[in-house]
Amino acid sequence: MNRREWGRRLLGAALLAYTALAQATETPVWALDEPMPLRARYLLVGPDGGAVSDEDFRGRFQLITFGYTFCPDICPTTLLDMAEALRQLDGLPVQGLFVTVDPQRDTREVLKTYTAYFDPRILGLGGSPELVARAAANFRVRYARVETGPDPENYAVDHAAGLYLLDKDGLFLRKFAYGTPPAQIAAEIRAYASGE
Amino acid sequence: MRLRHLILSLLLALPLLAWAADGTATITADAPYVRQPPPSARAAGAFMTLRNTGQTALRLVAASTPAAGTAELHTHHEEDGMMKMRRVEAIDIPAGGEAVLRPGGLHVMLIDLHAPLAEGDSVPLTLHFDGGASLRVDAPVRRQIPTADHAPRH
Ligand SMILES: [Cu+2]
Repeated sequence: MNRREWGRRLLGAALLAYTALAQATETPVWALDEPMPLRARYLLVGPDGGAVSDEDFRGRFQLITFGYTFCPDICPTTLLDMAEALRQLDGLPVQGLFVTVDPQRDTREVLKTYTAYFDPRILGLGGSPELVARAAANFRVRYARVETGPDPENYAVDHAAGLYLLDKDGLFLRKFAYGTPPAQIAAEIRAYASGE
Repeated sequence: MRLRHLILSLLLALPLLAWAADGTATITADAPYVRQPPPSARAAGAFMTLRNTGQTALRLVAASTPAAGTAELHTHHEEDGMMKMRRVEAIDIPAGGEAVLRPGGLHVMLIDLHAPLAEGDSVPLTLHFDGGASLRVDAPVRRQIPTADHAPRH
Protein backbone atom coordinates (compact mmCIF):
# COMPACT_ATOMS: atom_id res chain seq x y z
CA MET A 1 0.00 0.00 0.00
CA ASN A 2 1.58 3.27 -1.05
CA ARG A 3 1.13 6.70 0.48
CA ARG A 4 -1.43 7.65 -2.14
CA GLU A 5 -3.56 4.64 -1.29
CA TRP A 6 -3.32 5.55 2.41
CA GLY A 7 -4.36 9.07 1.64
CA ARG A 8 -7.42 7.85 -0.27
CA ARG A 9 -8.41 5.59 2.59
CA LEU A 10 -8.01 8.38 5.11
CA LEU A 11 -10.10 10.66 3.00
CA GLY A 12 -12.72 7.94 2.68
CA ALA A 13 -12.82 7.44 6.43
CA ALA A 14 -13.06 11.16 6.99
CA LEU A 15 -15.94 11.39 4.51
CA LEU A 16 -17.72 8.51 6.21
CA ALA A 17 -17.27 10.14 9.60
CA TYR A 18 -18.48 13.43 8.22
CA THR A 19 -21.59 11.81 6.69
CA ALA A 20 -22.32 10.02 9.95
CA LEU A 21 -21.94 13.29 11.83
CA ALA A 22 -24.23 15.09 9.37
CA GLN A 23 -26.82 12.36 9.73
CA ALA A 24 -26.56 12.56 13.48
CA THR A 25 -27.19 16.29 13.50
CA GLU A 26 -30.10 15.81 11.10
CA THR A 27 -31.77 13.34 13.42
CA PRO A 28 -34.55 15.38 15.05
CA VAL A 29 -34.02 16.04 18.70
CA TRP A 30 -37.33 16.63 20.40
CA ALA A 31 -37.43 19.21 23.09
CA LEU A 32 -39.64 18.29 26.02
CA ASP A 33 -42.31 20.82 25.19
CA GLU A 34 -42.30 19.96 21.49
CA PRO A 35 -44.84 17.48 20.19
CA MET A 36 -43.35 14.07 19.45
CA PRO A 37 -43.88 12.73 15.93
CA LEU A 38 -47.18 10.96 15.59
CA ARG A 39 -47.33 7.26 14.83
CA ALA A 40 -50.86 6.46 13.75
CA ARG A 41 -50.89 2.85 14.94
CA TYR A 42 -53.33 1.18 17.29
CA LEU A 43 -54.40 -2.28 18.33
CA LEU A 44 -57.65 -2.17 20.27
CA VAL A 45 -60.79 -4.17 20.94
CA GLY A 46 -63.81 -3.53 18.72
CA PRO A 47 -67.54 -3.72 19.40
CA ASP A 48 -67.66 -7.49 18.81
CA GLY A 49 -64.79 -8.27 21.12
CA GLY A 50 -62.30 -8.88 18.33
CA ALA A 51 -59.03 -7.06 17.78
CA VAL A 52 -59.20 -3.96 15.61
CA SER A 53 -56.10 -2.24 14.29
CA ASP A 54 -55.28 0.62 11.96
CA GLU A 55 -54.49 -1.98 9.29
CA ASP A 56 -58.11 -3.11 9.19
CA PHE A 57 -59.14 0.05 7.37
CA ARG A 58 -56.71 0.16 4.44
CA GLY A 59 -58.44 1.72 1.46
CA ARG A 60 -60.48 3.97 3.74
CA PHE A 61 -59.79 7.29 5.33
CA GLN A 62 -59.92 7.10 9.11
CA LEU A 63 -61.33 9.87 11.25
CA ILE A 64 -60.38 9.16 14.84
CA THR A 65 -61.14 10.84 18.15
CA PHE A 66 -60.27 9.98 21.74
CA GLY A 67 -62.75 10.58 24.56
CA TYR A 68 -65.02 9.03 27.16
CA THR A 69 -68.77 8.60 27.53
CA PHE A 70 -69.01 10.30 30.94
CA CYS A 71 -68.01 13.55 29.21
CA PRO A 72 -71.14 15.75 29.04
CA ASP A 73 -70.36 17.98 26.06
CA ILE A 74 -66.84 17.95 24.57
CA CYS A 75 -67.00 14.33 23.39
CA PRO A 76 -70.67 14.41 22.29
CA THR A 77 -69.94 17.57 20.28
CA THR A 78 -66.91 15.95 18.64
CA LEU A 79 -68.91 12.83 17.74
CA LEU A 80 -71.85 14.87 16.51
CA ASP A 81 -69.46 16.77 14.24
CA MET A 82 -67.82 13.54 13.11
CA ALA A 83 -71.24 12.09 12.27
CA GLU A 84 -72.18 15.21 10.35
CA ALA A 85 -68.89 15.12 8.39
CA LEU A 86 -69.53 11.45 7.55
CA ARG A 87 -73.03 12.33 6.41
CA GLN A 88 -71.69 15.06 4.13
CA LEU A 89 -69.06 12.63 2.78
CA ASP A 90 -71.59 9.94 2.02
CA GLY A 91 -70.18 7.76 -0.74
CA LEU A 92 -66.53 8.34 0.17
CA PRO A 93 -64.79 5.55 2.09
CA VAL A 94 -64.30 7.12 5.53
CA GLN A 95 -64.26 5.16 8.79
CA GLY A 96 -65.23 7.05 11.95
CA LEU A 97 -63.63 5.78 15.17
CA PHE A 98 -64.11 6.70 18.81
CA VAL A 99 -61.33 5.48 21.10
CA THR A 100 -62.17 5.54 24.79
CA VAL A 101 -59.63 6.89 27.25
CA ASP A 102 -61.77 5.42 30.03
CA PRO A 103 -61.77 1.67 29.32
CA GLN A 104 -62.79 0.83 32.90
CA ARG A 105 -66.21 2.47 32.61
CA ASP A 106 -66.59 2.36 28.82
CA THR A 107 -67.30 -1.28 28.24
CA ARG A 108 -68.04 -2.62 24.78
CA GLU A 109 -71.79 -2.43 25.39
CA VAL A 110 -71.58 1.16 26.63
CA LEU A 111 -69.45 2.16 23.64
CA LYS A 112 -71.75 0.43 21.16
CA THR A 113 -74.87 2.23 22.36
CA TYR A 114 -72.97 5.48 22.64
CA THR A 115 -71.52 5.56 19.12
CA ALA A 116 -74.74 4.26 17.54
CA TYR A 117 -76.57 7.30 18.92
CA PHE A 118 -74.42 9.55 16.71
CA ASP A 119 -74.00 7.31 13.67
CA PRO A 120 -74.13 3.51 13.47
CA ARG A 121 -71.10 3.63 11.16
CA ILE A 122 -68.87 5.00 13.93
CA LEU A 123 -67.03 2.23 15.76
CA GLY A 124 -66.20 2.50 19.45
CA LEU A 125 -62.81 1.03 20.35
CA GLY A 126 -61.50 0.14 23.77
CA GLY A 127 -59.69 -2.71 25.45
CA SER A 128 -57.30 -3.10 28.32
CA PRO A 129 -55.89 0.07 29.91
CA GLU A 130 -52.49 -0.93 28.47
CA LEU A 131 -53.77 -1.19 24.89
CA VAL A 132 -55.54 2.15 25.20
CA ALA A 133 -52.45 3.76 26.71
CA ARG A 134 -50.31 2.52 23.84
CA ALA A 135 -52.72 3.76 21.17
CA ALA A 136 -52.99 7.15 22.86
CA ALA A 137 -49.21 7.40 23.20
CA ASN A 138 -48.80 6.66 19.49
CA PHE A 139 -51.18 9.50 18.65
CA ARG A 140 -49.53 11.75 21.24
CA VAL A 141 -52.88 11.99 22.98
CA ARG A 142 -52.48 12.78 26.67
CA TYR A 143 -55.12 11.84 29.18
CA ALA A 144 -55.37 11.63 32.93
CA ARG A 145 -57.99 10.40 35.36
CA VAL A 146 -59.06 13.06 37.86
CA GLU A 147 -61.48 12.81 40.75
CA THR A 148 -63.78 15.82 40.75
CA GLY A 149 -66.36 15.09 43.42
CA PRO A 150 -66.95 13.12 46.59
CA ASP A 151 -67.77 9.89 44.72
CA PRO A 152 -64.56 8.33 43.34
CA GLU A 153 -66.63 6.50 40.71
CA ASN A 154 -67.64 9.81 39.16
CA TYR A 155 -64.16 10.74 38.03
CA ALA A 156 -63.40 12.84 34.97
CA VAL A 157 -60.73 12.08 32.39
CA ASP A 158 -58.71 15.02 31.13
CA HIS A 159 -57.93 14.38 27.50
CA ALA A 160 -56.78 15.96 24.27
CA ALA A 161 -59.74 16.79 22.05
CA GLY A 162 -59.95 16.98 18.27
CA LEU A 163 -60.04 14.63 15.29
CA TYR A 164 -57.19 12.77 13.61
CA LEU A 165 -57.35 12.04 9.90
CA LEU A 166 -55.47 9.10 8.39
CA ASP A 167 -55.23 8.41 4.68
CA LYS A 168 -56.15 5.18 2.90
CA ASP A 169 -52.75 3.72 3.73
CA GLY A 170 -53.18 4.48 7.41
CA LEU A 171 -50.76 7.39 7.35
CA PHE A 172 -51.49 10.45 9.45
CA LEU A 173 -52.66 13.39 7.35
CA ARG A 174 -53.70 16.04 9.82
CA LYS A 175 -55.47 16.91 13.04
CA PHE A 176 -58.66 18.96 13.20
CA ALA A 177 -58.92 21.10 16.32
CA TYR A 178 -61.96 20.73 18.57
CA GLY A 179 -64.75 22.93 17.20
CA THR A 180 -63.75 22.67 13.53
CA PRO A 181 -67.05 22.84 11.60
CA PRO A 182 -67.94 19.49 9.99
CA ALA A 183 -68.38 21.18 6.60
CA GLN A 184 -64.71 22.17 6.73
CA ILE A 185 -63.63 18.67 7.77
CA ALA A 186 -65.69 17.17 4.93
CA ALA A 187 -64.28 19.63 2.39
CA GLU A 188 -60.70 18.80 3.36
CA ILE A 189 -61.25 15.04 3.21
CA ARG A 190 -62.89 15.49 -0.19
CA ALA A 191 -59.86 17.47 -1.35
CA TYR A 192 -57.48 14.74 -0.14
CA ALA A 193 -59.63 12.12 -1.88
CA SER A 194 -59.62 13.94 -5.21
CA GLY A 195 -55.91 14.74 -5.02
CA GLU A 196 -54.65 11.22 -4.51
CA MET B 1 -81.35 43.40 71.87
CA ARG B 2 -78.44 41.79 69.99
CA LEU B 3 -80.39 38.57 69.46
CA ARG B 4 -83.46 40.43 68.23
CA HIS B 5 -81.23 42.32 65.84
CA LEU B 6 -79.70 39.10 64.57
CA ILE B 7 -83.07 37.43 64.03
CA LEU B 8 -84.34 40.52 62.25
CA SER B 9 -81.35 40.61 59.92
CA LEU B 10 -81.74 36.93 59.17
CA LEU B 11 -85.41 37.36 58.38
CA LEU B 12 -84.64 40.30 56.16
CA ALA B 13 -81.57 38.79 54.51
CA LEU B 14 -83.21 35.59 53.32
CA PRO B 15 -85.88 36.98 51.05
CA LEU B 16 -83.74 39.93 49.97
CA LEU B 17 -81.19 37.63 48.52
CA ALA B 18 -83.26 36.45 45.64
CA TRP B 19 -86.40 38.51 45.70
CA ALA B 20 -86.85 42.22 45.30
CA ALA B 21 -89.05 44.14 47.75
CA ASP B 22 -92.02 44.03 45.39
CA GLY B 23 -91.91 40.25 45.34
CA THR B 24 -90.46 39.78 41.87
CA ALA B 25 -87.54 37.44 41.52
CA THR B 26 -84.16 39.06 41.03
CA ILE B 27 -82.66 35.93 39.58
CA THR B 28 -83.87 34.22 36.42
CA ALA B 29 -82.68 31.23 34.46
CA ASP B 30 -83.03 31.99 30.76
CA ALA B 31 -83.18 29.35 28.02
CA PRO B 32 -82.44 26.40 30.28
CA TYR B 33 -81.93 23.02 28.64
CA VAL B 34 -80.39 19.65 29.22
CA ARG B 35 -78.28 18.34 26.42
CA GLN B 36 -79.69 14.96 25.50
CA PRO B 37 -77.12 12.34 26.41
CA PRO B 38 -76.71 9.16 24.34
CA PRO B 39 -78.74 6.32 25.88
CA SER B 40 -75.78 4.66 27.60
CA ALA B 41 -74.31 7.85 29.05
CA ARG B 42 -74.41 8.14 32.83
CA ALA B 43 -74.24 11.91 32.85
CA ALA B 44 -75.74 14.93 31.14
CA GLY B 45 -75.04 18.64 31.18
CA ALA B 46 -77.61 21.33 31.93
CA PHE B 47 -77.08 24.81 30.53
CA MET B 48 -78.74 28.23 30.95
CA THR B 49 -78.08 31.90 31.47
CA LEU B 50 -78.51 33.07 35.04
CA ARG B 51 -79.46 36.74 35.22
CA ASN B 52 -79.29 38.73 38.41
CA THR B 53 -81.40 41.86 38.18
CA GLY B 54 -80.96 42.66 41.85
CA GLN B 55 -78.45 44.86 43.58
CA THR B 56 -76.79 42.07 45.52
CA ALA B 57 -74.34 39.59 44.08
CA LEU B 58 -75.59 36.00 44.13
CA ARG B 59 -73.74 32.73 44.35
CA LEU B 60 -75.11 29.49 43.00
CA VAL B 61 -73.75 26.90 45.40
CA ALA B 62 -75.63 23.71 44.57
CA ALA B 63 -78.22 22.12 42.34
CA SER B 64 -80.53 19.18 42.80
CA THR B 65 -82.86 17.16 40.62
CA PRO B 66 -85.08 14.13 41.02
CA ALA B 67 -83.88 12.94 37.59
CA ALA B 68 -80.37 11.99 38.70
CA GLY B 69 -78.49 10.67 41.68
CA THR B 70 -76.27 13.72 41.94
CA ALA B 71 -76.05 17.19 40.48
CA GLU B 72 -72.75 19.03 40.62
CA LEU B 73 -71.57 22.43 39.43
CA HIS B 74 -68.83 21.97 36.86
CA THR B 75 -66.69 23.86 34.44
CA HIS B 76 -64.49 22.96 31.49
CA HIS B 77 -61.23 24.54 30.52
CA GLU B 78 -58.40 23.78 28.13
CA GLU B 79 -54.96 23.41 29.66
CA ASP B 80 -51.76 21.63 28.59
CA GLY B 81 -53.50 20.60 25.37
CA MET B 82 -56.19 18.77 27.33
CA MET B 83 -59.85 19.42 27.98
CA LYS B 84 -60.37 19.41 31.71
CA MET B 85 -63.66 19.13 33.54
CA ARG B 86 -63.65 20.27 37.15
CA ARG B 87 -66.15 20.73 39.94
CA VAL B 88 -66.57 24.31 41.12
CA GLU B 89 -67.64 25.33 44.61
CA ALA B 90 -69.91 28.11 43.37
CA ILE B 91 -70.95 30.11 40.34
CA ASP B 92 -71.02 33.86 40.96
CA ILE B 93 -73.69 36.04 39.42
CA PRO B 94 -72.76 39.70 39.98
CA ALA B 95 -75.43 42.28 40.82
CA GLY B 96 -77.00 43.36 37.55
CA GLY B 97 -74.95 40.74 35.73
CA GLU B 98 -75.17 37.20 34.48
CA ALA B 99 -73.47 33.85 34.47
CA VAL B 100 -73.61 31.84 31.28
CA LEU B 101 -73.66 28.08 31.53
CA ARG B 102 -72.88 26.76 28.06
CA PRO B 103 -71.22 23.81 26.32
CA GLY B 104 -67.47 23.88 26.73
CA GLY B 105 -67.73 25.82 29.98
CA LEU B 106 -69.87 26.03 33.10
CA HIS B 107 -72.64 23.46 33.46
CA VAL B 108 -74.78 21.66 35.96
CA MET B 109 -73.59 18.07 35.69
CA LEU B 110 -76.35 15.53 36.23
CA ILE B 111 -74.73 12.26 37.30
CA ASP B 112 -76.31 8.81 37.47
CA LEU B 113 -79.43 9.57 35.49
CA HIS B 114 -82.36 7.51 36.73
CA ALA B 115 -83.74 7.03 33.21
CA PRO B 116 -82.67 7.84 29.67
CA LEU B 117 -83.72 11.35 28.68
CA ALA B 118 -85.88 11.70 25.60
CA GLU B 119 -86.13 14.81 23.49
CA GLY B 120 -89.03 16.86 24.82
CA ASP B 121 -88.70 15.57 28.37
CA SER B 122 -88.48 18.22 31.02
CA VAL B 123 -85.93 17.94 33.80
CA PRO B 124 -86.85 19.74 37.02
CA LEU B 125 -83.85 21.43 38.57
CA THR B 126 -83.61 23.30 41.84
CA LEU B 127 -80.82 25.83 42.03
CA HIS B 128 -79.64 26.64 45.53
CA PHE B 129 -78.07 30.00 46.24
CA ASP B 130 -75.78 31.07 49.04
CA GLY B 131 -77.98 32.28 51.88
CA GLY B 132 -80.70 29.70 51.35
CA ALA B 133 -82.70 31.08 48.44
CA SER B 134 -83.55 28.68 45.67
CA LEU B 135 -84.95 28.75 42.17
CA ARG B 136 -86.96 26.05 40.45
CA VAL B 137 -86.18 25.57 36.76
CA ASP B 138 -87.70 23.20 34.22
CA ALA B 139 -85.07 22.38 31.65
CA PRO B 140 -86.30 20.76 28.43
CA VAL B 141 -84.16 18.00 26.93
CA ARG B 142 -82.71 19.09 23.62
CA ARG B 143 -80.83 17.19 20.99
CA GLN B 144 -77.71 19.13 20.11
CA ILE B 145 -76.98 20.19 16.54
CA PRO B 146 -73.52 19.91 14.91
CA THR B 147 -71.07 22.80 15.05
CA ALA B 148 -72.12 25.44 12.53
CA ASP B 149 -69.80 26.90 9.93
CA HIS B 150 -67.74 29.83 11.22
CA ALA B 151 -68.45 28.76 14.77
CA PRO B 152 -66.09 30.31 17.25
CA ARG B 153 -63.37 27.89 18.23
CA HIS B 154 -62.78 27.06 21.83
CU1 LIG C 1 -69.24 18.00 34.07
